[in-house]
Formats: sequence, structure tokens, C-alpha cells
Amino acid sequence: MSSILRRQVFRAAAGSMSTVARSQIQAIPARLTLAARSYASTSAVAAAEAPLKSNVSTSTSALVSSTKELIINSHRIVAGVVVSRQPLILRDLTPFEKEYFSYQQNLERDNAAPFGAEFYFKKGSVAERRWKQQEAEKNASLSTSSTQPSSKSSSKAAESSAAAEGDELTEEDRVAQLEAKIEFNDRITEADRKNDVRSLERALQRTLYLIVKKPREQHAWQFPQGGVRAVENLQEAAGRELQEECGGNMDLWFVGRVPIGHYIYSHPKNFKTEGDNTVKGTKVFFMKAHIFAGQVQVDNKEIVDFAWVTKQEMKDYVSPDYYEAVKDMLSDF
Amino acid sequence: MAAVTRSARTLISLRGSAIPAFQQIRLASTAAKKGANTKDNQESGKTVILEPKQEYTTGISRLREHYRGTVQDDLMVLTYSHTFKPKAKIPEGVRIELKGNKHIKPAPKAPSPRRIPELVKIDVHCMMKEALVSKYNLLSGFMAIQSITGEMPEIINSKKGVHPWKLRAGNPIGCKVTLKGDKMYQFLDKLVEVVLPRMKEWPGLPESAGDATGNIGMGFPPSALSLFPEIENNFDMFPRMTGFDVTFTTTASTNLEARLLLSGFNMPFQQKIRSAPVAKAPASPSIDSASSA
Repeated sequence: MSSILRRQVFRAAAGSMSTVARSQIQAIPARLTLAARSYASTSAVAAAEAPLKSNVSTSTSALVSSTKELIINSHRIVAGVVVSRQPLILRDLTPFEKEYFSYQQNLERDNAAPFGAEFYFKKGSVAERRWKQQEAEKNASLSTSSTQPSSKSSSKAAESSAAAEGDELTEEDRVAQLEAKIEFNDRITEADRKNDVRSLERALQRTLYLIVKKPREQHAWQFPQGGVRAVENLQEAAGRELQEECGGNMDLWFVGRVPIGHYIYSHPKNFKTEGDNTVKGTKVFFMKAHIFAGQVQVDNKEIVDFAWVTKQEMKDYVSPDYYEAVKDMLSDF
Repeated sequence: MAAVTRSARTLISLRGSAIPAFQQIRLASTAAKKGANTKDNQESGKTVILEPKQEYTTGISRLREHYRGTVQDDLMVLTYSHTFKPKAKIPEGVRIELKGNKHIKPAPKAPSPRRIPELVKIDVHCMMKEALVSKYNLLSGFMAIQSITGEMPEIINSKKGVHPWKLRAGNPIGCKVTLKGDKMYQFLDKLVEVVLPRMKEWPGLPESAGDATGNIGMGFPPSALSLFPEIENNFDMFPRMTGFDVTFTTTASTNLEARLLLSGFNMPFQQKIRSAPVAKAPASPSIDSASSA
């Protein structure tokens, strides 16, 4: 499936729903300059109309520094991004599923309406010959045993028969020979074998999430996250933080403008903030985004490392408290 | 003309799948009852019951996996209403009357993970004017719909007679297939990946698509039928191309949800290019300058 098309399409639909999915935290009238991203344009006005929250402790005078951090109820507001790479291939079937599907296939075959082969294939054509051959193979495999017919042997048989009738080599035969040469990619990639967690080509059947490592001892691994400034909404803050930490070389689509989860923690006693001593803790709001192309660029200032991990692997990276807070947002598959 | 008669003759002389169709069309006008939808198979002497159809899940469905893995989660985020207030309940036993000409819409329900919009079924329906002249003209459309959906269509008889059109009540006039489960997802997949991208100058579904109760319908011209790979390879065998309608029935309760769901399956939608809303007067110029700085 062309992921780019999917993104455009999703965006197109999301354009009409900006009034529904509006960021819940609108502290200061958002900037009136129109956002470049597609559906943000219509909601900029809506955001500006959102009333001021009464419990905003930042100075609500008109002269607000654009870099001033947003503090509500003596909690720092932080925006995080859960960037996910969706599964690229279908999952492996369980043995039970395999059995079940083959059983259902046989049932369907037995109960199917008769197939009008004369209608679909011209008499004496290559297509008809090939179809008859396939039918014979299927019947043979059904009658002998219930095991799966091996596709390799059948394709070999088809090749040998085509080679036998080499004197009447038609266009269709040539196409069939080309088709036989098509090789399928492995479901386990090079990145899986090397266990390269930075590659987006790993664990194709699973949903992967981006976590980044910050240059510190404790709580080093986290989702990309950073403080919300007083003049922006959650989505803008999330996009900006991602740009700052991971570089602009990622094609992302934010799913809606509302957070999908949050994490509240109180600061330790000796924790120093930049000036405001009234801040007691932090509230992290997580936005959801999908990645379609690109990769993270490490700048070694804000982050020193990154990894694309599944939910289960994330447990080994992040702190237990953090994992407990975010685990319900993540997909098990 | 010769080609038409040849293929028509092939259609009629078929021993395979066309015979049930043929039989069904013949039955459709003679025996009005649906219960007569059985026929004797001449080869084996067994009775083949055409209805009810059985559904078989013969494999893992790509679009269903995509729905469960990705679309469902995203729809939950996109359509969740954080400020939902339930309307007053209508007491039991109170009859809901029509409001003007329209039914009063059911009250919106609280957002819940159990109420995420889902595709229920796809109806493929065609009506052929040619069937007015001879009911056997319907065979071509019947076979075409059967080819593209992989299911045996059911014949639609006209409910009313319309004299100017020479239509009599009870005559077969069209056919219809209801797809559910795997077949539904396969058809949607084919439509979105193969057919729609090749429809020239089709701009996509309009932004206003939907019937306000979560169903979306679209019509196809006769030329679109030949874009299906099943028809394309046997184009000569179908003497009459017919237009057809496709209706997506979903559990969504609004147009928006239904459109979001379908767009999650890659269905193209037109995007209205809105002119940028003109800001009347910047509320606070200092903030504006601060953010641009």
C-alpha cells in the first residue's frame, strides 16, 4: 500500500474535522499566523477563540516571551510524541490459524458454485491449459493428504511442462517464465539479524516506537518530549520538539490534535528549575504520530542515541515508572 | 454485432456458472417466490441451494489487519469527543414522529472503544435498462457483477410498473450482491488499489459524501467495469457493460466518521481548497510578533 497516498487521504479527511479534534489545552491565544500544515489552517482561528484558562500562572499580559514555558497549577506542561511505524507485512499465522484456514479453504472449494471455465478461457489457449494443470494439482494434493501443497514443486512442474512444449513458446509462456523468476524478499531482514534497533526495516510484523536517549544518568531513554511554550498548543510544541531533537528529516503525520495519554510526576526536593520555584511537578501529554519516510538524525546535543523498539522491548530501555505510564497507549502487536 | 451474438450464445450455452444465473433469471419472472431458488444439477443430480451463502475465512485479510492494527486506534483518537454531554433520553413507549419530511436522527452516543466505526458490508448493485426489452439481457451484467465480487448476485425484480418506461411490476430489472467479511475487504482492496487509480479524471469522493447515518454510496459508469482485472481479461465475453452502484455500510453515526473510516482504507476524497480565513484584526499584535520572532 502506498503509504504516502494514505497519509494524504487521511489528511484530507482530517481537514474537515479540525473543530472536533481541537487541542484541549489552549492556554494563551495561539499565534494567528497560519500554520503551514494542511488542516491546521482552519483550526488556528478556532484555537484563538478558545477562552483563557483562569488557572494559568504565566503572566497573561500581552508581552509574553515566546520561549517562556507554560506552567499550569504549578506543573510544567510538556509535550511528548509517540512516533510509530506501523507493521509493514502481515503477521505470521499460528499453527491453529493455518489449520483453520486450510480447512475453510477446502470447505469453500467443496461448496463453491461450478466454475465456467469455458466462459473465462478460450478453447485450446495457454491460459486454459495452465488452469487445468493447476486444478489437477490441487485435486491431487487434496486427495493424497491434507498437508499444504508445496508451491515450489508445483511451480517447478509448471516450468518443466512449459519447457517440454518449447516449440510452441507463446507470449504468455514467456510471461509465465518471467513470473517464475520473481523472488520474494525475506520476512526477516538484515536489521533483524544484526539486531540493529536504529533501523526502520526491523521487526516488519510489529509496530515500532521511537525512543531517544538523553545525555544523563537517570531516565535517559524516553519518547521525544519537551516543554510547551506559552504561545503554542500541544501539537505545535510536539512538532517543534521533534524537529529540535530528531532533525527535520522525517515525514510525519500527527493523528489528531488531542493527546492520547499523559504522565504526571512530581519533582524531587533538590530539583532546580530555571527560575520559578513554585513548580512542583511535570505533566507530560503524549501526541500520536505516524512516520512514513525519513529517519532520526542524532545531533549529540539534546539526544545521543535513538531506537525503534516494540512495546515489549521498550521495557528494557525506559524506567519502570515511565513504562507503567505509557504502556497502555502502545500496541501489543 | 456478430461478436455480441457469439458471446451471448456462449453465455447461454454455458454449462458452468451461467446456468444457475440463467435459471435464476428464468425463475425470477415465473416463480415469484424466493424459496424456489434451488435447481437440479443435471450432471450429478444433486440439489444445489443457491441461498443462503456461507462465508469462509480462508486466510488473513490485509485490510482487516490494517483496520485492527492501525485504523481502529487512529479513529478512536480522531473521533473521540472529550466534551460529550448525553442528550435527555426519550422515555420508552414514546413514538418518534417525523420532523417535516425527515426522520429525526438518533441521538449521538457517548464515545467508547466499543463504538469505533467499522465497515459492515458493501453492496454492489446494477440496474440494466436493456432488461426491459428482454430479461436475458440482464445476464451480461449478472456475470460481470459475479466476476468482480466473486459472489452469486441476486436478481432484483421491479416493485412497481411504470408505463412510459414499458416496465411491468415483477420483471427482473437488476441484480445485487451483498459482501461481508473477507470478500468485502477483498473487493474494497481491489477497488482502491486497482480500479479507482485508473479512473481518469475522477476527482475522488466529494467532501459531502454520506447519508448522515454513516453510509457512503458511489456510482460507477459502465467504463469503470472494464477496469476490474477480472473483466479486463475477458472483455469480449461481456456484450453489455453496465454501470453499477457501490454502497458502504458502516457502524459510524455521522458522515465524518464514515469518511474517516473509508479514508483510512485509502479511499480518495476530494479536498476542498479553502481560502485562508482572513484574520479580522490581530487580537494582540505583540503576541503575533513574538511568535514570528
